[in-house]
Amino acid sequence: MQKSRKKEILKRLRVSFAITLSILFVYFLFFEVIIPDPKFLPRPSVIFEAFPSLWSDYHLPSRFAVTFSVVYFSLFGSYILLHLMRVGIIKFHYLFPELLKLPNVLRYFPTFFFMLLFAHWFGGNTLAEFAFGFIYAFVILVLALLREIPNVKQEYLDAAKSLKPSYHSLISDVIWKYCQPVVSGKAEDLHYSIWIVVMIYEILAQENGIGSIYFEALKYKDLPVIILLGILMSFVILFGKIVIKRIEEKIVFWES
Amino acid sequence: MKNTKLEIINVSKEYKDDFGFKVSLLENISFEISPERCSAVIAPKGSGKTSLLKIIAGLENPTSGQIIEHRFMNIVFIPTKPSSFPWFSVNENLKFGSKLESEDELKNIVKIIGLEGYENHIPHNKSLGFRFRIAMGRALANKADLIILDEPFNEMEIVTKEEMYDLVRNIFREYKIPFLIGTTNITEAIFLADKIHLMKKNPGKLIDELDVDLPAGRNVQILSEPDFNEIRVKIENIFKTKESYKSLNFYI
Repeated sequence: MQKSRKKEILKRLRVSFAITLSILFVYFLFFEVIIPDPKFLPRPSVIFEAFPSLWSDYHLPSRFAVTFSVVYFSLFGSYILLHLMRVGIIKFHYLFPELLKLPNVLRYFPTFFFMLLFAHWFGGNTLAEFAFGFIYAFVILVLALLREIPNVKQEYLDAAKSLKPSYHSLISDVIWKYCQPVVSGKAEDLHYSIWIVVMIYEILAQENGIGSIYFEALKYKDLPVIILLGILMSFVILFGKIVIKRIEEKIVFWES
Repeated sequence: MKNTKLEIINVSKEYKDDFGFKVSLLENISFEISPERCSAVIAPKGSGKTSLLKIIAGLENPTSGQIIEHRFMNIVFIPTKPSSFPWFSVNENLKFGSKLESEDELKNIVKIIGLEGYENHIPHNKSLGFRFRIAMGRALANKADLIILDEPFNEMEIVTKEEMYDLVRNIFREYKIPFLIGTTNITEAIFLADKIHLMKKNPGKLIDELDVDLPAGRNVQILSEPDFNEIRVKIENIFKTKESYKSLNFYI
């Protein structure tokens, strides 16, 4: 990856971090110092004091562990599975191009619909949550791969075919490698959406994870916990994004 | 190249346009490629040159006609761009589809293409010349009988072009692997080839062919020789009578 692009990404992250800190600072200034009795949002000190309650009463460590595991297991697991199945999926695409367009129909169904189905069938079962997150991530990544296959440059295919590699090598070393930056980019976007999807699933299922903390906090109108959890989650997601970006740069260092 | 001629016999290619009408892209093209000589096809843009080269390389089928000895030869096609895989290092690119039997052979090829010390470099973000060297190396590693080049020098700077011309001629001299180059550039074709086929467009059809009687061990100094200019003028005169004259390049 070009140094200038790395610099650009780091600059963007620094800017996001600075904006977040500025917002927190303005919030602190207005709601702690300037406004004497805030009604709309709680005082920052009240939010800070809500931490022990979030930790013990809402069982933050165990519930966070569940959501965290579901998100990253789904993300990395589905990518690894896609990598293992890449040759089969690409072969299947060429053998039955029409059949693989079928999943496109699913995009007109909102993800929420499938969440409801899963929550209805399996409730708050942790295993079901893992399965839901995994299937969601896998389908998104497979669709990204299928959409990219027709874009593989003819020049690469011509150059490769004239060297007469095996069919496996043509798929694995040329077509997959060409699509990999797009699929990895999709995995990076997926990181954010999967956090949201998994948390909404947990709110619906009401048993596990961060989503269930939100559900309970909403039920008890515990605004400081909702805000505190939001701030903590934003830092976790930002940190996750940085780590994923680093991994992506190591694995996919080219642009096709 | 195996000691046999490659014969292109009455090759035609048709396709259907957006309205379903048949359009003739190539019409009855016949010529031979001999193992001792390098050949060039000079044709204006849009004449079906790339299709012809792909048909010869076995990557496309003609509508009619045939290529004799085609199946028994190892033909490597190098497209205009991109000619190397940006996800592989130089060595990995050379090993892709290669028929090499030892690491020494690989090292030797790296030396010939002038990429010693760059074995583990990735072509992503490298110059067109760097990527072309890899493509030529891959053809050597594949033990090609014939290398087909489809306008590979189009976007290169003049200095790089001249280096690449020397590389191509050196490979022909050292390895006795002939090549067929499709180009719009007359100077390039004269410098690189021993036999030139001239093609017009609408439909793509051969209009003439001529031998280039320049020394086999030629280098870029020859570009300013009178003999060289004489051949260039001859080709210009043949094309001048055709409408496709304007879309040709006369100088590198």
